[in-house]
Amino acid sequence: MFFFKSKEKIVTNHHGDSINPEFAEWIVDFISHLSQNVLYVVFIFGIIFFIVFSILILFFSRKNQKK
Amino acid sequence: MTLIKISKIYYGWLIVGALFLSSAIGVGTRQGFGVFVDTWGEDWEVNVSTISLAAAIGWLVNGLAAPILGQMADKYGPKRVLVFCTFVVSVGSILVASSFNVFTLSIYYGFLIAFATGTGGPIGILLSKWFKKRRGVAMGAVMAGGSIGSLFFVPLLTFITINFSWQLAWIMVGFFGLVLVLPLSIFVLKDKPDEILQSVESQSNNNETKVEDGPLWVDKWSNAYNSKPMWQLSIGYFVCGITTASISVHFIKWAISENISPYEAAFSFSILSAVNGISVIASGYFSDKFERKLILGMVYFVRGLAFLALILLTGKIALWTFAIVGGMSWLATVPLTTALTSEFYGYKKLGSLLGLINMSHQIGGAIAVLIFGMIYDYYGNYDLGLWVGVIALIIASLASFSIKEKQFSSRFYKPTEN
Repeated sequence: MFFFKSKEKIVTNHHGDSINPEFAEWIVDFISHLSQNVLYVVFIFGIIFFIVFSILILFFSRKNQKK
Repeated sequence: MTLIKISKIYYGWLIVGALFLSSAIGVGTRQGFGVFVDTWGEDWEVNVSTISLAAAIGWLVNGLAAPILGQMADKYGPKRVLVFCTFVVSVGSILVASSFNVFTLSIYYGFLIAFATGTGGPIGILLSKWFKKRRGVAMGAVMAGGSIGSLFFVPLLTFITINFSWQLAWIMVGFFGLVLVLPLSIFVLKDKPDEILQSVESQSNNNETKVEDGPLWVDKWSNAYNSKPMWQLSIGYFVCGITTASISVHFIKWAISENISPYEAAFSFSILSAVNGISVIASGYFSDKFERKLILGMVYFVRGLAFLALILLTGKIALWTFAIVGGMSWLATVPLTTALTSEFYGYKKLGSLLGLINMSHQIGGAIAVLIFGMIYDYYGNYDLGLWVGVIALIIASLASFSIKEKQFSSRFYKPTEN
C-alpha cells in the first residue's frame, strides 16, 4: 500500500538520482530570487571553465601522445 | 616553465580529468530531473506519479545495465563502451527535448539515458589499469565530479527552464555531451598505458616495475564468489544501497515529521552533496596511504553515526549533524569498493564483477525504500527503520574491517620466487 503512496511523490535512483519535488521546489525558488545578472555571470564563468578545462585536457593529451 | 611541468603530467590524470567532466555533466544533469517534473506535469496535463514512471523505469534499467555494460567492457575494452555510452546519453538528452508525453520520456530517459549511465564497471576497469599507487584518489576524483557537477548543473538547468524553456535545457545537456565529453572520450581515453607507451608505474617516483598480480585473480567472474572478499564487499554495498536509497526517498518526509521545513531539509541535502565532494577525494587519498578496508570500514561506521544522530538528536540539530557527518560518507564507498574489487580479482572480469556488486546495491536500495515506508505507515515514525540502518551499517563496517586485504590484495601480494 505504502509503495504506491510513496511513489506518488518521490522516486529515487542510484545514490540520490531522484525526483524530489521539495528539492525541486526549493531550487526553483532559490534561483528565482537571485539577481539575473549574478546568475548570468556565474553560469557563463562556469561554462567557460568547463570548455577551457576540456580544451586543456585535449591539448595535453595530444602533446603527450606525440612524444 | 609551468607549461613544461604540466605537459609532463602523468597521462592517467588526463583520463581522470576527462571522466571527471563526463561525470559532472552526466550525474549533474540527472540530479536535476526533479526540476522538470512540474513543468512536464503542466505541459502534458499529467500528475507527478505518472512522470515518476519514467524515472522508475530508469532506476530498473540502470541497475540491469551495470552488469551488461561491465561485461561489454570486459570483452571490447572500456573505451569503446564509454564512447558509445557518451554518444547515447548526449543524443538521448537531445531526444528528451522532443518528448511530448510520458511514453516518449520513458523511452528517451528511462531506457536510453538510464542504460547508458550504468558505466561504473568500464570506468572502474579504466582507472584500475591506469593507476596503481593512487588508484583511490583517481577514483575519488571522478566520483567527486558528480557531486561538483550537481552543484553547478542543477541550478543551471533550473535557470534555463525558468527563463527560456525545458527543451533548451535538455538540448544544452546533449550539446555539452557531444561537443565537450564525446571528443574527450574519443581522443583522450586509452584502454591501457602501453597504448601510448607509458608505464603505469611512471606515476610514482620510484622505479618499481612490478607487474600487478594477486592470489584471487579470476578468469571467470563466477569464481570470485568462491572467495570471502567478494561476499564481504557485496554485503557492504548492499547495506550502502539500503542506507542511501532510504535517505534519498524518506529524508524530507523525516524532516517534516520533526517539524523542519522541506526547504531547509532540501538545502541541508545539497550541503551533504558538497561535503561529499570533498570527502570522496579525501577517502580515496587515505585509502592509498593505508589499507583500503580500514577506510571502507570507517566510512560505514561514520554513516552509522549519522543514522544514530537522526535517532538520538532532534529537530534541526539532527538534520545538520546528519548533513555534515552523512556527507562525509555518502559516495566514499564507491571508489573504495571499486579499487578493492580490482585488486582482489584483477581486470579480466572486473566489469562484470563491478556490475554485479552494483546490482546488490540497487536491490538493497529497492528493499529499503519499501520497508522504510511500511515502518513509517505502521509506527508513524522512522525510528525502527533508522535502527535497522544503524545495525546494517555496523554489520557492513565489521564485514569491511574483517577483509584480509594484506593476504589477498594485489597491493600487498608478493609471489613466491622459485
